[in-house]
Amino acid sequence: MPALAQYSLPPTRLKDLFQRLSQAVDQVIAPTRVPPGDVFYDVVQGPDEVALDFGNSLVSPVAWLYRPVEEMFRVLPGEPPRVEPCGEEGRRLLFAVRPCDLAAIGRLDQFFLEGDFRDDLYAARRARTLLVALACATQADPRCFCSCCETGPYAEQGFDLQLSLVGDRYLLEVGSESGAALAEQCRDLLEPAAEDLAAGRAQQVQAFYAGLEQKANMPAAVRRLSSEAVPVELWDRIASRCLGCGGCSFVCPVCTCFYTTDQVREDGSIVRVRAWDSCRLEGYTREASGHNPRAHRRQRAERFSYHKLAYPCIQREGRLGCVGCGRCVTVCFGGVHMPRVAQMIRRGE
Amino acid sequence: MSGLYVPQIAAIERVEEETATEKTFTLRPLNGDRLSCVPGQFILLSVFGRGEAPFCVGTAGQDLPTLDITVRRYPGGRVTEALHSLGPGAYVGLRGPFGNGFKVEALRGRDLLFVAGGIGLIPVRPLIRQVLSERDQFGRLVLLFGARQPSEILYRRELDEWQAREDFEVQLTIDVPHPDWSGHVGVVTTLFPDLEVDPARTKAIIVGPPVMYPFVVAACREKGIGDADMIFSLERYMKCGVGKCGHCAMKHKYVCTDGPVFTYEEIREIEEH
Ligand SMILES: Cc1cc2nc3c(=O)[nH]c(=O)nc-3n(C[C@H](O)[C@H](O)[C@H](O)COP(=O)(O)OP(=O)(O)OC[C@H]3O[C@@H](n4cnc5c(N)ncnc54)[C@H](O)[C@@H]3O)c2cc1C
Ligand code: SF4
Ligand code: SF4
Ligand code: FES
Repeated sequence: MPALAQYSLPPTRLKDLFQRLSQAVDQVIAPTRVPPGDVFYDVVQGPDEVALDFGNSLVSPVAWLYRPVEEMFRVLPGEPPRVEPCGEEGRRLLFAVRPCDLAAIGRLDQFFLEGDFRDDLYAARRARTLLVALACATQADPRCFCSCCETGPYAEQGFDLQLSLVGDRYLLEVGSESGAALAEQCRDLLEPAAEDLAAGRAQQVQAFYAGLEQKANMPAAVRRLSSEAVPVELWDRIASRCLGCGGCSFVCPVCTCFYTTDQVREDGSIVRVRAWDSCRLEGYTREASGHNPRAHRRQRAERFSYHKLAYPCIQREGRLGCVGCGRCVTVCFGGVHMPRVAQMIRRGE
Repeated sequence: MSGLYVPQIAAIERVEEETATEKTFTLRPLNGDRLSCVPGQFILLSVFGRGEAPFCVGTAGQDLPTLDITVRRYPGGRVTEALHSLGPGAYVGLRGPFGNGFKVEALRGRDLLFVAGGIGLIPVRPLIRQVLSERDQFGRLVLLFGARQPSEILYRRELDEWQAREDFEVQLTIDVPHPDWSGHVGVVTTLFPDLEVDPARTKAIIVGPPVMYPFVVAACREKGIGDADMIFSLERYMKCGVGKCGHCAMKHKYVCTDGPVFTYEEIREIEEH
C-alpha cells in the first residue's frame, strides 16, 4: 500500500514533532537507554529520554500490546462471588517501532482479532494504540535478516506514521487515517516531500540489502519443512544444542503462547493472570496424568520451527512466523537460532 | 460482564461419588443461562484461586438448565483436588461449551463400536445416551470398556442398564485379575479377537488414555475398519479453549477449536514424531 501522504522534516524539528505527537495521547512508549546502555521500550516523559541510535531492542515493543504478564479479570469473593474486569484506559503512542516488529503486530492482529474468537484483552489495547514506525535503512543490526522475511527495512503498511532518515532529512509517511490526523496537527513543522526524498528512500533499500550480514533463505526452508522432508536426526542435532531455556520464544515478537494462573491478593480478591509461555519448555504440554506428548527437546524444537515455517501454519496464521528481527540470534546460548535452523532445514543436515 | 476469558458464575447443585477418585458435579449457571451442548464438547471450569481446567460435558442437549461433569481427582492437582473438596452450594466459574463434539449425523445408519478406556467413558457416555434415545436410527451397537480395576469402573448403574438391553452389546474388562471380578481380564484390545464387525458399516468411537490408541488403531485396522471411520476424542493440556494459548496445538490444528474430536485420518496428518 503506498503511503497516503509524504512529508519532509528537518532533523532539528524532530523533538517538536515528538512533543506534538505526545499531546495527542495520554502516554508515549519509546525506545530509551537504560544503564549500562541497553535500549528498552518504556514510558517516556519527553523527547530527551528517547534513543533513536540503536539496531534493535532486546525486548520487542510488541510487549506493550500483548503484555508479558496481564490481569484478565478479578473475582471478589462473596455469596455469590462477583467477577469484575481488569484493564487500563487511555490512548497510547508506540514511538519508533521497527518495521519487523510492525510486521509481527500484523500477525498478532490476525491471530488475536480474526477468526471465531476475538481476544478482547488484546483488542482493547490495540484499538487505543497509535503506531509510529522508524525505518531501519541506515541502521541495520548485524543480527537482523528482515530482507529474507520481507519485513524491512521499511514498513509498507501497518503504521499510522513512519519516520526514516534519508540523507539530511526525515521522511514522514502517513499510513492511516489516524496518521493523517496526527500529521495534520503537526502541519506547521512539516514540509512537502521533494521528489529526491522518494528516490533516496529507494536507493537506501538497495544499499541496505547489500549490507546485511545475516542471511536466511526462508522460502527454501519453508518448502523443505512443509514437504516433511526433514530427517528426524536434524531435530536431534538442534535439540542437542538447545538448553530448553525458552529464551527464543520469549524474545520473539511473533510468539503468542500464554498460561494462566490465579493470584490471591491481600484483600482476598482473586486475579486471574496470563503470562507468556513457551513451547520450548518441558512442562508446556505435560498433562495432569503425567503424560507428555512432547516430552523430548527434539519434539519441541520441531514444534517451534513447524509453527513458524510450515505452509499449513503460514496459511492459517496469515504470514511467516518469523519477521527476521534477529532477537533469537542474540539470546540463544546454543547458537540454534532461527537463521541457523533455517539453514539446517534447507540443507537437511 | 463478558469477555473471551471471563467465566460465568455457576453453583454446584449436586455431587455424586462415582469411584474413589471420580465425582460427578451438577452445575447450574447463576444467571439462569441455558446451555446447549453436543456430546464430546468440553467446558472450562474455574475454582477461583486455584485455576481453570477443561472437562467434558456429561450432559448433551439444547437449552439445559444444568450441566454435568465427571472429574478425576489428581493428588496435588490444583483444580481437581480443590473441586473435589467442594459440595452443593459452592460457586465455581464456567466457560463454554467449546470444541466440535461428535458429529452424530455422520453416525446415523451405521453400526457403532465404542471403545473406551478408564475415564475415556466420560465423553462417550453422552453420545451413547443420545444414540440410545434414537435407537432405531443406528445399526448394531457395541461398547468395549476397559478399566484397570473393578473399583475404577465409572457409571456402574448405567452400565448395568446398558448391559441389560437386548439392542446394545456391552463388554467390560479389567487390566489384571482381581478377587472382586469374574468377568473378562486383559486390556481392552483383548476383547477384539472374538468380535465380529462389518467393516463397511462400522464407525468406531475411541476414547481412552493415550497409551491405548496405537493398539486400538491396529486392532480396528485388522478388522478392516478404515482410518476415516475411526473417531477419537483427544486430550491436550489446555489453558484457554479458544485457540489462543497455544498449548493444545498439533501441527496447524488446535485440539480445542478444531477438535477435540478427530477421525484417525485427520490425526495422521497432524501427528507429531
Ligand atoms: C478436552 C479435555 C477434556 C477433559 N475432560 C475431562 C473429564 O471429563 N474428566 C476429567 O476428570 N478430566 C478431564 N480432562 C483432564 C483434566 O482437564 C485434567 O485432569 C485437569 O486439567 C487437571 O487439572 P489440575 O489443576 O487438577 O491439575 P494440575 O495442577 O494442572 O496438575 C495435576 C498434577 O500434575 C502435576 N503437574 C502439572 N503440571 C505440572 C508441571 N508443569 N510440572 C510438574 N508437575 C506438574 C501436578 O503437580 C499435579 O500432581 C480433560 C482434558 C481435556 C484437555
Ligand atoms: S534460545 Fe536457544 S537454547 Fe534457549 S530454548 Fe531457544 S533454541 Fe533452545
Ligand atoms: S524467530 Fe527469531 S528472528 Fe524470527 S521473529 Fe522470532 S525472534 Fe525474531
Ligand atoms: S487450549 Fe488454548 S489454544 Fe487450545
